[in-house]
Amino acid sequence: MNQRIQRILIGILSFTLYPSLCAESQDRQFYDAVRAEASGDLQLAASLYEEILLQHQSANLHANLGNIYYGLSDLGRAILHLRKSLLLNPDNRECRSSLASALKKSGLQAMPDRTNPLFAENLQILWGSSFAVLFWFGLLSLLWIFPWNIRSSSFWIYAVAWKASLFFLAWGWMDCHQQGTLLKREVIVLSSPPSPSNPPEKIPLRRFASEDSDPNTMLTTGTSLLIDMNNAGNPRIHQSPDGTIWYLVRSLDGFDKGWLIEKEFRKIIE
Amino acid sequence: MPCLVCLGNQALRVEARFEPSTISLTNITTYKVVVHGSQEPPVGSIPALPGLRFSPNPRTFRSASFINGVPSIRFELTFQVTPEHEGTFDFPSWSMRVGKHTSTAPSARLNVLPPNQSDRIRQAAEKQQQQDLREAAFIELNCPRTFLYEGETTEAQISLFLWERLPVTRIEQIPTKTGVGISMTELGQPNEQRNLRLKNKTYTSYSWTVGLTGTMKGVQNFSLSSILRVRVKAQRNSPLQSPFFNDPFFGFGREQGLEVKTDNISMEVRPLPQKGRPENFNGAIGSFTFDTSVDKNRVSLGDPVRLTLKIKGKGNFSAMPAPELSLGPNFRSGPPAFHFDGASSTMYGGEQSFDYVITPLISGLLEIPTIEFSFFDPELETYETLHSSTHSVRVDPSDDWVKPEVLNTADNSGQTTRPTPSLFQTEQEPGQWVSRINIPNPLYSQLFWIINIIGFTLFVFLLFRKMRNKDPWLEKLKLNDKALQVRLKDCVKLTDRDGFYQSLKRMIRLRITMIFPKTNISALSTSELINLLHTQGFPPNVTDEISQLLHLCETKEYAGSDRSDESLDSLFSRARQIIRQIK
Repeated sequence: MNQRIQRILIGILSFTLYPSLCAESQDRQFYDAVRAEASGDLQLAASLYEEILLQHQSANLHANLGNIYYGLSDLGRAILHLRKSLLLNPDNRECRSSLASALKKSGLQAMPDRTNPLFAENLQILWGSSFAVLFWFGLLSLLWIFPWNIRSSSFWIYAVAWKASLFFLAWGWMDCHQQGTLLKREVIVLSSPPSPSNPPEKIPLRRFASEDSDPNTMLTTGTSLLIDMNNAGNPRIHQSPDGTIWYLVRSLDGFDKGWLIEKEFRKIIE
Repeated sequence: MPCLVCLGNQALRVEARFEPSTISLTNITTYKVVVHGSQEPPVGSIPALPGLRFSPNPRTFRSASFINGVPSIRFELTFQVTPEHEGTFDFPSWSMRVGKHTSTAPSARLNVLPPNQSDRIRQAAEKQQQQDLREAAFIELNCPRTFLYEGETTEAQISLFLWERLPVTRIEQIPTKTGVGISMTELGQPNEQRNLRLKNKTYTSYSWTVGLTGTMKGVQNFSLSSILRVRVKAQRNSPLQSPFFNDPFFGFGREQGLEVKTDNISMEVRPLPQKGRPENFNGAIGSFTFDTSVDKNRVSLGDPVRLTLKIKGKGNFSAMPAPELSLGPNFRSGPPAFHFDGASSTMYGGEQSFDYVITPLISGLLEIPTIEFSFFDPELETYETLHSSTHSVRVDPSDDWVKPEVLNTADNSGQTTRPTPSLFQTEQEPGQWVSRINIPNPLYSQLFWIINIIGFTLFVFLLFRKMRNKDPWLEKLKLNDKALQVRLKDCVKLTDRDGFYQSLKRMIRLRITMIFPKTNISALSTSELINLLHTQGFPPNVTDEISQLLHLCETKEYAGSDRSDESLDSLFSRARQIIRQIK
């Protein structure tokens, strides 16, 4: 009986302590990576960070990793991780300026503020909850304050104001949702890691899903693209006989369109 | 009132007397001043007479009457008078102002006799009752200390004892302290004990453990009071006016508040002695033990070490600041985190931990210096200083971190190293971990669904309530409306033109009544009704139609003639269309 209780207690303890133990291990690995970076071993630091990324992420980790890739002149990955860091911590101004530097160095345009910050994708809950509050508040007020007295002018003024406010909030919510959907489709073009002998290569955006196909355009590493979706809302892909998966992508302005291999890009939100 | 005015010519006369004029010492009497011929209150001051105590607020009484056919008005003032000793008291005459006149109240005499046997018995009974009442509910404060030092905290127990026969319905106010100079912690949940035998009575006691802290020097007086709600039966005819003890069953009548209060409690608060006060004494008073520990003995340079100071014992933990660290140039420390483990309500006994995060600034075998903690022991009345043991921490060098030659070593070993163009300062801490990057979606947010559930619930509740609270008057009108509709159809079927017009008129008026519930529609003429509909914004074609139909009905009813050649069927369909629009 005692042994059984002991086992149960050990089980409970392991269950409760497991997250903190895990947290300690990734913290330790993070500190190792910071030390490696400080000692100048950027490759080791990057591989340690990438190892942590298999399980966990944090804004600081992505920022440090972006910094390291910038140091290794792998601007595509630097831009990717700086973008990810900004998604997790949008208020990091240092990270934002670093991203601007990386984009400038790679010859790309600075990331435009696509929308008013009021309609940023991370404000969906605020817009949605405000919509719900206003919807129920208005409905209950109509039921409570103007009980079916549809002849009164104040009823109509109130109802119109309520509908207009609802429309505004719904529009804001939809705009935020659309930004979120676009972000889910957004990818960053990556090239194989450059070395002193191999400068960063340009990636061809092919007309057809084939290695032999002519490129529509040559993409600079770090370029943002959007994956094309079919009517069912799934990415438009093509699988070659050798098993390579091709994605149909287009530029943010929609002018350039073509096929990319899976390994030539990474999604910002995976 | 006119009668009272006409009585105003009566001559002004003032009488003053004690009623009764002879009493025993334990009784009370009244001093009555009667002003005949006026109903205005007299203005003046009653002279003070040593040995007699007058109530400050007299009772007043105005009257007007006919005595043997002669009208009479008067104003009476009655004071309650309590004698303080035996003897004969000659109350002097005193002048007063009544309206525009000045009058004099004549002198009066009061004989106060020594108390007789029955008075003594009653006095004893009253005393016994007071004593019984004090024994029925009382508060006790048990404090182990007879005096406190300024800033010292001690644990005390407040007990409220309730006699089991006292019909207490609830404790309206838990014991509260009145008085300054000694602070008391908040009272939490009481510890209840039943069937306690004290003074040959059975009690229920409620005890609270509190922390008392001396805040001001000097002898401090305070008291504790509580209010109970007690069920009593009023005894209006009782000579003692005691609602508690005249009824053996304490009655089952009304509830009354009963204040239970301690006598004045005096406690001295002494200043802390200046002699022998250590420099690093920062207000800790009590009896403590002190211990320190570190979480790691070996770290890399730059890694934090957690230094924990634990102070255990009894004392004023709530007023105890964190000990100051002087770690020397080898360490850097931040502000500590506090954690108290013990009696959180009194903050008296337990263990207070201070967690400091210290960072070694150089590598090597470093020693955390001794930390001192001073306190005043109120039992021994001396200052004590405790010293922590030293801790050694091995800090591994992180030379790669700072020394540039290491980069050269790395180059020699063939590793790919590049000069690092710094974008921004590398973050030393990982920050908050997440398993993946998510875009928040309201449909997966608890807040969104809670708002919707609350909104929907309120909507259903209001709808249900609205349906239940239908206006019965309106419902009755609707029933009548339906009945009239059936009757109209029947009249059409039976070609009963009289009945049709009658029902149609009633129905139109009923519909208008529904629109104007506050207007007496039956009292209005047809033209007034039409005007009323105009004011409500009904279109002219509708009001014209209504006007025509009503005229048709009235012509049939009052003139007995039917000017319309229309068949009942077409009249019915026309009327139905119009009636539909009267909403």
